[in-house]
Amino acid sequence: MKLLLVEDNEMNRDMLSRRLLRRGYEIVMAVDGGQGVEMAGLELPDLILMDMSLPVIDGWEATRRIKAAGATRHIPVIGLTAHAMAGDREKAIEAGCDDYDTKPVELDRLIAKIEALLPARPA
Amino acid sequence: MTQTPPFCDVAPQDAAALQVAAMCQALRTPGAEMAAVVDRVCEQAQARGLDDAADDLARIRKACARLCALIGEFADAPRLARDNPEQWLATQGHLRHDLRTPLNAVKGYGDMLIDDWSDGPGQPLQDDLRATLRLADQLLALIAAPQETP
Repeated sequence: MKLLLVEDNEMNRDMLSRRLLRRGYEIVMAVDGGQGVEMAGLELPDLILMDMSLPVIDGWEATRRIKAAGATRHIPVIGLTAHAMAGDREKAIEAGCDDYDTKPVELDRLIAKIEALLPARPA
Repeated sequence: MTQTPPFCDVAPQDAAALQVAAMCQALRTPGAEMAAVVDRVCEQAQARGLDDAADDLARIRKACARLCALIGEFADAPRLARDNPEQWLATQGHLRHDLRTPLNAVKGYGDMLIDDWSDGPGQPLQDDLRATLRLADQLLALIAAPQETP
């Protein structure tokens, strides 16, 4: 299963991508919202992990664009944010995110959310 | 006739400043402890020749330094809370958010190294790494706002 990780912080991108690779996912990465929208169209990943505080285009707008495009609107998006305030979840869902998680990432919790949204794998 | 205890004479803005000062102190202790434990892990890993872990340990150390610097930015918080409560609320929100980014790195890389060191020469360092993660959780609990969503 291919995941697109959109994250601008180098350390967090490196760490999360490696942890997900260890769990057997294929990872492609983007470093800002604009690149995230572009990569979503080019790579057509099975799921997108979208940091919401991003340069160029923020995660909310990038998600709106991904969900507005015919080729990518079916791809589930999980919003990631370090804000963790009441209202953030609703804001992410309104932008089109299918789910939302907070940083620091608890890997097992995030993977449960990823698996719940991924299309069923062939037996 | 009942007498008002002296501590009730504290003005609300001073009480807020005292509360913030206590929170700042509470943040400093685990922050400094974490930096010390991470330094020890780095030294011991180097002494044991755990070169494969050097980059990840350097990242944990960098995240720790960032964390301590951010905690240092709270130094002026009690004065701000007393003199400008609205600005303090905004600053507090940003600081809480900013602290989570290095905490995310410390916890993530720490978890990976604990897995990597489940056997072999790194195994004796696992306890210190677990202590680092406990301190990270302690800091996380201290910066958690009441309206947080899991």
